[in-house]
Amino acid sequence: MRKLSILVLFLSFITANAQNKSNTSIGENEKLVYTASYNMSGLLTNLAQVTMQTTRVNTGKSNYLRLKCNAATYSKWDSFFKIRDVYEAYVNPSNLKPYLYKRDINEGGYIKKEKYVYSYKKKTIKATMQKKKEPNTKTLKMGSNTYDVVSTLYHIRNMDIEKAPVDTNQKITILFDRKPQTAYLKLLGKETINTKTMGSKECYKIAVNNNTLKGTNKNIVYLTADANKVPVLIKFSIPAGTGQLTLTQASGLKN
Amino acid sequence: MRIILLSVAAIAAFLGIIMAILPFGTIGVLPGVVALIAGFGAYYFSKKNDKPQKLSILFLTIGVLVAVASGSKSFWVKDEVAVDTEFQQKEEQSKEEAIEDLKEIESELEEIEGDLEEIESE
Repeated sequence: MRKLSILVLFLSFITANAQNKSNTSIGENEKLVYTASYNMSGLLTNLAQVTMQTTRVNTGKSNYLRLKCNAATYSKWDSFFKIRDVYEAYVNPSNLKPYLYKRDINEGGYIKKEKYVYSYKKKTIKATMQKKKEPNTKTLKMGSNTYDVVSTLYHIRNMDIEKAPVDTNQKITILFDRKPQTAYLKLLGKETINTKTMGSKECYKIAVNNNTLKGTNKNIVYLTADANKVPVLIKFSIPAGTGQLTLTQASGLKN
Repeated sequence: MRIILLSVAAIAAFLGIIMAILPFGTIGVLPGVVALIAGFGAYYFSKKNDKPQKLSILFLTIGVLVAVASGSKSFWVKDEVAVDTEFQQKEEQSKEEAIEDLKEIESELEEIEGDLEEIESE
């Protein structure tokens, strides 16, 4: 469970001062499918499928963009360790500003639910967490550019990466398990990556460094160096081991 | 040497069987190959020293079977996510609940804005 939490946290350590920037990268019916693999004695073993999907949601008064990330173990693993996780954020479609975040995880019987309600007027986040007992609510102070995992994950794709200086650390903060976590992003340069769905693509190589992650510049996110900034490959190195997420399917891209 | 090779072959064969049963993919080939090599070595020394060869042949056979079974796994065990209607329903229900939450957020915003307007007009 902790391994997966660290991985999710790593995936989300990718935001910056793009919170008020208009959305130029995320489409309304985008679907990205990944294969999550874990390194066992030098061989990558496929464990789960991770899907990132966006859809429009209407409340009658306003439209929101639902950013949904789910993780499900392949059926061959279900008898041993079944994972069914859903992470959602409901954001403003024009600038990706989050209003609601929900997390519902079931990892081998370990269940946890979380809900953050953002109040921009009061500058607070009402954070509710539920494990086995009754839900527990805390009101947190909203820091500048401190958002949930899903929102931050999409915010990076909306950043002006092309303007970022190479080899310079950028501090970011993310709210996970109702605690703010600090990490540093570093653009290492560009690299060409071969993908199953998109062919050979020039990508931004971004390192994510944090205390909970292992090593320096060992956790890498490759984003296509185009207007969509699709994460095509994510390499992670956590205390429990190493692995990667590889893009296997992409549809509904904005540009 | 024969005893050492037999012990290595036994451990590797045991691990190989476990990994072939569990969904470890082609990684199970490794202990299979180790069992095969150690089994062959044990067979060689058994024959040379005129000792019983049954165990070494057994581990050698297990090694071959494990390597073939694990190596061919990718052809008959696919990486697929099972259709989970309960999970799909949960996702849909979560969306419905979220819409209700968003409506509450909207009305709360309106109330606050209304209060602000009243204060301003006073």
